[in-house]
Amino acid sequence: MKMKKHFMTILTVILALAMIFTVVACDKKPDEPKTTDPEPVKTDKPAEPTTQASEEPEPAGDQTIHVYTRDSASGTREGFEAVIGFKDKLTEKANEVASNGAMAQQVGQDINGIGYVSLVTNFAENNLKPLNYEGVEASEANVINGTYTLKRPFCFTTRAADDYKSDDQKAIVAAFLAYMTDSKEGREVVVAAGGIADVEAGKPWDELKKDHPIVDQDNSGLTIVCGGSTSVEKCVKASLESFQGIAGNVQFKLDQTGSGDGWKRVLGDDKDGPNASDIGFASRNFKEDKEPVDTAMRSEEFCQDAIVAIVHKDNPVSNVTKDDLFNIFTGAAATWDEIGK
Amino acid sequence: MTRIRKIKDIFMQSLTWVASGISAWVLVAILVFIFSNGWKLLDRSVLFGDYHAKNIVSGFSDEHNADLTFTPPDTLEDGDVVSTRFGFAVRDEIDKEKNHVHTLTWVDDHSPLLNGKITTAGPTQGTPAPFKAGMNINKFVYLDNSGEAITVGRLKQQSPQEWIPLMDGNAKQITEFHGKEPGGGMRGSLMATLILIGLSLLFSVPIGIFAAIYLYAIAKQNRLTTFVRSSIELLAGVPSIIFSMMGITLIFPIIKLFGASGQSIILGSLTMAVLLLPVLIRQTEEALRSVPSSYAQASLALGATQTETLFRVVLPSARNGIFSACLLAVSRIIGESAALVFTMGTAIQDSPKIGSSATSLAVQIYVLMGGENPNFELSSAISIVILILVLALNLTVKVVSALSDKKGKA
Amino acid sequence: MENAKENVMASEAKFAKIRKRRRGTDVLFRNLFRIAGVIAAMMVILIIIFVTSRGIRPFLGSAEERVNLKYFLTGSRWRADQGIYGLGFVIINTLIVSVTGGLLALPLAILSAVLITRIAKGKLSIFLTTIVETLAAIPSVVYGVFAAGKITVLVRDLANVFGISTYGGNSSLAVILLLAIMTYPTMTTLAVSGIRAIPKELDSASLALGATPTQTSFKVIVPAARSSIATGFTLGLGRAFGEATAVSMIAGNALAGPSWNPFDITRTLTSTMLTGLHETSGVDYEIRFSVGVILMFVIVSMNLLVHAAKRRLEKKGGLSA
Repeated sequence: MKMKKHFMTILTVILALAMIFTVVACDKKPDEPKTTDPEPVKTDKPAEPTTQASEEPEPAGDQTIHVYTRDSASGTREGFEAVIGFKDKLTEKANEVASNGAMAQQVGQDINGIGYVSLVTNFAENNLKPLNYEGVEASEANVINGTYTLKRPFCFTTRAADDYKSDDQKAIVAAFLAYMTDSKEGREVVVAAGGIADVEAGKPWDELKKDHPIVDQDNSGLTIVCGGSTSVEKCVKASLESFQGIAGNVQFKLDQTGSGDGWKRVLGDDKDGPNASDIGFASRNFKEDKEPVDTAMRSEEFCQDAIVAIVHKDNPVSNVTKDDLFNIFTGAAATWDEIGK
Repeated sequence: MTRIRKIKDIFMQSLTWVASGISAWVLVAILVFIFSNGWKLLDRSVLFGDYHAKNIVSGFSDEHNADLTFTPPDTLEDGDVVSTRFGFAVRDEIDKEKNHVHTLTWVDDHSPLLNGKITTAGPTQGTPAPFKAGMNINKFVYLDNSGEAITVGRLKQQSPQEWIPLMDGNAKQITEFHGKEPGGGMRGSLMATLILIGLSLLFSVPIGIFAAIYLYAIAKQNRLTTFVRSSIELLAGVPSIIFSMMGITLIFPIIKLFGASGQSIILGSLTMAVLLLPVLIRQTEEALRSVPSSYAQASLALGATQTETLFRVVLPSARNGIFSACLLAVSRIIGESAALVFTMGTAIQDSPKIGSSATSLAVQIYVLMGGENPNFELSSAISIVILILVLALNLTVKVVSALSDKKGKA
Repeated sequence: MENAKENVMASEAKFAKIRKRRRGTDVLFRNLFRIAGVIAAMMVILIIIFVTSRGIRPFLGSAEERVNLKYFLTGSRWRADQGIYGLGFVIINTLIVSVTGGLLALPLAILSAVLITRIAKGKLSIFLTTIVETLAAIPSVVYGVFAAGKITVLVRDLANVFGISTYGGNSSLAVILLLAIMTYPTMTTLAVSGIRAIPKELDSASLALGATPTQTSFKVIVPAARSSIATGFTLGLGRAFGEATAVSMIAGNALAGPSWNPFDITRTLTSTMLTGLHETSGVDYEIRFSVGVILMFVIVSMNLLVHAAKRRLEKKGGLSA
């Protein structure tokens, strides 16, 4: 009898909690569009003495910064950590997300979030604000002229020249790489997809294509398999799509998982495994000691990409320095007030 | 006392209503969310279109485009930029995958754009490739008055407002047109899902039914039976992500012997086949048990062997139940994602093949949410399709069981 | 005469032959059925053997690559970037979110079951059952899309009410709510079938003694159905522990823990396994199987625990259903 009573009490309490929660949820629903406003996070602390300029809205202020980082296989993360110089010192409070998309989506929902993505990300669609780095706006022009320094190379490597399924396969891969890397047309596509390359320095495809007669035959039976970095996906996919039209409708498969896999899938342990690929991409340089590419048919950088620090669009911060980012990502700066000093 | 009792009773009763109300509210919230995000996107092109954009390169050889002037229809909206010289209109918009594209919104019946021929090598080379409204323009190549080839369009980072006047003013003749049929469809995943369903059932239904017959007709009350029963019970409790690991460690080495190279539909369906066993066995056994034992006894008494009795009498009588079991298995396959992510891969394919990787509808959602730009709209559209399929299957199961109940009573 | 006798003998021999052949088919099929049964039963053992054999690899490798097993089981930091793999806090987080989610769903499930079986009549009851079945039929990835778009927003707003800032709503609480929703149908279905299986006499006896229908429902029927309810709870918990895709979309992946604050990001066993998705070899890849082994272990021990509790309850109550 006693047990039953207890049971009922606990049941009722839990239920009451559930109900309260639902009521809150229901109440909140109508004014949902507003929730991205800075207001809700304003604390009810008494107004601070006006030592700092107060024209700016101050949604973040003394709020704790939420650090978002990518998983450890990510080339974006490696590139970012290398430039900012905090490898292994990342704060324990960071939230590790599995993809560029998840990063964009989650920071776009978090007024106090800060993360980093590739320049190809659509900021407005995801409620994001790209931050200037050392006062320089993240743009293609600024990367080419060298003023924006938070950047990284997009590289590829391939299987060894004698390690292709067939000669046609080898020829079509070589033709594609020539198109994407060397030709004016290919570079145009890469640039339009967000990569950064010097279009004018490219050679016309009509000239290059003489070395690659394979493109003048029906290639619909061939499939170019790509693996590696996820950041390159947009550029590579656009290149492949436009290459299809000029190379006998060659098929392609993109299975992008992370820079760590780029080398593995064409030259490393995994080259004959379930994920074997023709071209492996990395959004960083291949590591000379661990990822020797000298046996590859071809291996080089095909464009550059800017890494952009991002915050929620209502965050007043608009510029960060290298020190700021270092302090934020190592946990030395815990609130927004502590940066920019 | 009685009044307190009454109040208590009413209170408890209302609690039950609240509890069910919460569940109803959650269901409605889910449906509203999914439909409001995905419904407007859901059309033929999404359902049956390719996921990857199809690029088309057309060439123009004749000098048809001398000095025509076209008049645009009144239906064009703000933002449509018109080329009066070549008879088409373009607008700058964001496509299903959240990229900037220049979409053709109008092409005149006499526009030279309709006369292009495919230049891509292969069987389709030289066939007409008319460019119609709805396609995206990547770039144009034209010859100017001095005979120099000029490229304009989105790939040159030009807005329609820039490149259309440029082309209208300077082009002597268009020589090349690069366009694409927009992607963002789910046909490939839909097909992969169908193949997956077919193969998984092919492997698991025979084993499932046979195992159910074993438990129903042959197994004696001994240790082996207890062991078999509890193992199957345990298998039902294994989370699907563990099945995907089993796929990699146990099944992959086996199918590798037959030449499979890696993540593939076949690996995914074998994994699913194992995952489905408990569902199939349990449901089939239940269906077999619901067949009156007098049927089997009558058949045996007439001299039929046990095998004959099972296959000619018991199984046919239980066919509705077994059919329902298969439908439940199908709806499980459609909804499964964790078991397939590692075994079937995450590369979206437009023409899936059994021996290579592909995504099912559910996995495509997972991929879209994790992609470069998370795509709620397309994910929701696919979710609607999944929901409709799964709910339709569950409804069919209900109808089938209601029918067989009626039959049983009659 | 001779002829007829011969005929009879011939046909008898024929029958014998047929009988033999039929017995042969019987034996053949009997064995086929048995093999199918054993294959099905072996699967679970094979899964355990193969996943475990893969899962222990990280602890056996060469000294520099080896992962410390003790720290793996008890550690409070998961830093794949530094080669530190401590799963202890992840196990605790998983237990917290799954059990809380289950406990949140349990009373709702019991109350709904009472409404469906004992209060609502006819069409209404069928309608309510349909709601539960529909919730059960929604695939987890759809729940994931919903959770990432709606539950996180809800949690974020709730946190704002208290002045707490969240990682965009990605938090333990969001996972708990999601798991409560996802386990609710399983528990309700089991509770409904449990209550339906209770003999009418119990009901009548209680009413005859002067208890109101509501009193009877809650003080007689529900306790009598506790065995099914407990089974439903176990099944629901199993689903909660093993749920991967949806949870990984909203858990946020904390690097250290455990996270006691419901508004803090968390990391569950399954979300850890899916983060490793981007690896295909090396320790980061192998460790995924080790996490899988732990996940299986957690689920099995949880099942045993609930079973033990159930048995004790049954002994005490003296009622069985």
